Amino acid sequence: MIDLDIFRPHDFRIPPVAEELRQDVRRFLAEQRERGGFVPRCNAWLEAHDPTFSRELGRRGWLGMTWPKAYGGHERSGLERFVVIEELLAAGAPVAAHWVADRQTGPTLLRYGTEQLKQRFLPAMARGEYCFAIGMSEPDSGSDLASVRTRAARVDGGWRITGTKVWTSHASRSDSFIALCRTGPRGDDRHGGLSQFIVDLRAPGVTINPIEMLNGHHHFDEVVLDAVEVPDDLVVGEVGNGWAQVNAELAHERSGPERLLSSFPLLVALLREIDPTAPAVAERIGELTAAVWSLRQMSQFIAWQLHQGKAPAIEAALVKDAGTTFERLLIEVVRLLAPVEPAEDAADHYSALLAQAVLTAPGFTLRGGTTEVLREIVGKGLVSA
Amino acid sequence: MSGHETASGSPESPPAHDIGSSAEDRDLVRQSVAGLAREHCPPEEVVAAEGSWLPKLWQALVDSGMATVSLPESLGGSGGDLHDAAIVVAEVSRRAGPVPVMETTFLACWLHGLAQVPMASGPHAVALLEPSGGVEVTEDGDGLRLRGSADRVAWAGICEQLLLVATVAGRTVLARVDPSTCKITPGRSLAGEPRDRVGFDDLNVPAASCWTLDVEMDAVRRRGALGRVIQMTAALESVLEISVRYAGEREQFGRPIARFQSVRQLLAQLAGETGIAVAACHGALLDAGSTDAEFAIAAAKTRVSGAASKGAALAHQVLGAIGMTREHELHLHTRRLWSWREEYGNETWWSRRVADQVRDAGADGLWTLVAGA
Repeated sequence: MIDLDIFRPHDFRIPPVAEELRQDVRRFLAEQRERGGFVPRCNAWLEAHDPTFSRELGRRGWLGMTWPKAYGGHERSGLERFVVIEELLAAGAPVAAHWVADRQTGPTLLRYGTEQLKQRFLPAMARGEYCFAIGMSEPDSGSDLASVRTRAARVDGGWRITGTKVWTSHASRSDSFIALCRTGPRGDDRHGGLSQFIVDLRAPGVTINPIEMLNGHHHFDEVVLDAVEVPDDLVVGEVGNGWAQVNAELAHERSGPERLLSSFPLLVALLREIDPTAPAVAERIGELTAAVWSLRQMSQFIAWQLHQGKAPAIEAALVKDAGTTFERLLIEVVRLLAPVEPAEDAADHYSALLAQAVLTAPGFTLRGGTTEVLREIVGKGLVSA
Repeated sequence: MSGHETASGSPESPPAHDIGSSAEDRDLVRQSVAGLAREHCPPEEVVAAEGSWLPKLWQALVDSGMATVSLPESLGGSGGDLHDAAIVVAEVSRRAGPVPVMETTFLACWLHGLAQVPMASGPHAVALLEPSGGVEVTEDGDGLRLRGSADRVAWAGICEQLLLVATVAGRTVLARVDPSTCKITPGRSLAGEPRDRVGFDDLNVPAASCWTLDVEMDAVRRRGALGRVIQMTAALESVLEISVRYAGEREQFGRPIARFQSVRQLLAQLAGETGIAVAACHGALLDAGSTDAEFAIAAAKTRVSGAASKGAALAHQVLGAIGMTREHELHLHTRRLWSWREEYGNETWWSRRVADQVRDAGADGLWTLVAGA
C-alpha cells in the first residue's frame, strides 16, 4: 500500500466537545445574519475584510484557539478550531481580516518566535486587533519561491531590507507581514540563505501599491521595501533557516477547509432558485453534494493529522488540489442549472454570487500553490517513496 | 508540526468512541486476511478463475473464521463488527479475490444479525427482488411463492445459500433458498465474475426459511452499496500502487517515465481520486450506524463510483499499451472498478437519492446535511 497517512484512516470523527462548539458558532452566525451583520459571499476568507467581525470573534475566544493562554490563546484542540472555521467558511462570513494571522502567522511565531515576539504580537492577534499579511511572492518569484530576491542586509543592531513583494492580500489594511528575504547565498540545494522578518507595513521605506483584479476589486497589494530598517528582535526563527520555516508555514496555509468551501455559498444560493430533484438537475446536485461531503471527510482527516502534531505536507497538497479543482467545477455546473447573466450588482443574490464566483475562480487553483505545483509535490512524493 | 502544547496535552491518539473492536484487533484481522489473500490469490489464479470462483481462497477465509466476521457467535459467526467485516472485504478485494466475500461477510452476516437467525455455512449470494424486477413474490401460507427470474445475481451459480430480499405485503422479507432448486443461467460481469440469472419456477419457500426484517429494502440496498464502496476503494489503492510502481520501472527516452512531469501529474490525480475514495469510504463506515447513514452512504457510493471511473482511466493512461493486456494484472482491478461502480446503484441512482435529501434539508440546511447536525 502507498505509505501515506491518508490511506490509513482511523476514527476521525469530531469529538463531542467540538460538536457542541459547532452549535454555538451556528447560533452566532444566525444572530449575525438576522441583524444584517453580513451578506454571505464566495471567497469571503480572502476578500471580505471586516475588522469589527474579526474582533467579535476574538471576544468569543474563536481566534488563537489552539494557542497557549500565556499568549492570549485558549488552549483548545485543533479539532475545535476546525469546526469553528468550517462553519464560518460555509456561511460565507467576512473573516479575511484575521485569516492570515490566525491560520499561519500565529503558528509560525509559536514555533519559531522568541518569547518576546510571542508576547508582543500573539495576544493582539488573538483579540482580532492585529492584522498580518503574507510577504512571500515577488514579481519574479511565484511558484519558484526559493528564488526570492528581496535582500536583507546586515546593519548595526538589525537589518535593512530592499525588494518588492506582491500578491500580498490586504497589505494596506494590515499592520505587519512576515517577509521572506535573502540573507545569504542559495547554496547547492537552491534553498539556502533565506530568512524571515516581521516588517511593520507602516514603517518608513514601505510603499504599498494596490493591484486591481479583473473584477475591479482591490485586495492584493504590491509592497515595495526601500531600505526598510528592521531591528534584530524582529527576526523570526534563525537567520538562514527561512526555507524550512516558510514550508512549515505553507503547510498551514494549504491544509484548511477554505480550500473546498470558497464557492459553497453559490451552491446554497442556487438551491433557493431551483427544485434540486428535477430531472437532469438532481444528478448534478447530488454529485456536487457528494463531492463536498467526500472532500470534507478528507479535510477532517487532515485536521486530525494536524491535531496529532503531524505535518502531512503531501496529504495537504493532495486535499488542496482536489478541493480547489472542485471549487471551480462547482461554479461551472451551477451556472448551467440556473442560467442567468450574472452581475455583481444584481438585485438577486444568486446572480451576484455567480458573478463573484466566475470572476474569482481562476485564482482558486493558483493561490497558495498552483495545481501543477501541488501535483508535483504529490507525484514526487509517490514516486520517491 | 505545532510547537506548543494544547490543553489536552501533546498529540493525542484517536478518541475512544465505541466502535467495537480495538485497533489491535483490527490490525490482526487485516494482517490475517492480507496474508491469506497473498498466499491463495496471486494474479494468475484470479485469471484462471474467470467465469467461476476461487474455492481455496474461500476455504482459507472460512478456516480462519474470517468469512463470518461481524456475525455474532450466537448466530454461528466469529464476532467482531462492521469495521472488521469491512477490513476482510477490503483485503480480499485488494487482491481482486474472486469470491463472494462482500455478499457473505458484509451483507449476509448483517442480514442474519438483523433477522436474528443462525447463518448456514458456505458462500452466499444475495438477490434484492425489486417490485419492478422480473420476480413475482406472493405469500403462500406463512411462506412465499416465487415466479419469474432475477438477473445478474452475483455468484448465484457457485453459492451454497441464496438469500432473497423482497417487500411482501408491506413487510421486508428475507428468504433463504437452496440454489439447486432454481434454474441458473450463467452470466458475467465486465470482470468475468459470475452474475447469473436465477429462475424461479413457482418455487415455494417454506415459512421456516422466511424471516421478517425490521428495515426497508432501501437499507439493504444501502448496505450492498457500502460493500461495493469498500471494494472499489481497495481496488483503487491497488491500481495506484501498480501505477506508481510501473512508472518507476518502465523506461523510455533513457529514464523511468516517472521522471516526466506529465506522468507524475497523472499519478497525482490518481492519488487524489484514491484519497477521496478512502476518505468517503471511511466516513461512510463511521456514519453507518447513525442517523446520517442514509446520506453518507448515498454520497459515498456517488463519489466513489465516480472515483472508480476517473481512477481506472488515469491508471490505464499511465500503463500504456501493456496495461491493456490480459497478461498484465491491471485489468483484474480496473474491470472490477468498471463493474462494481454500476452495482447496487451507480452515480445516477445515488446522486438522485442525495438530491432528495438536499431537497428535504432546504438551502439553509445544506451545510448541516454535509457536516452533521
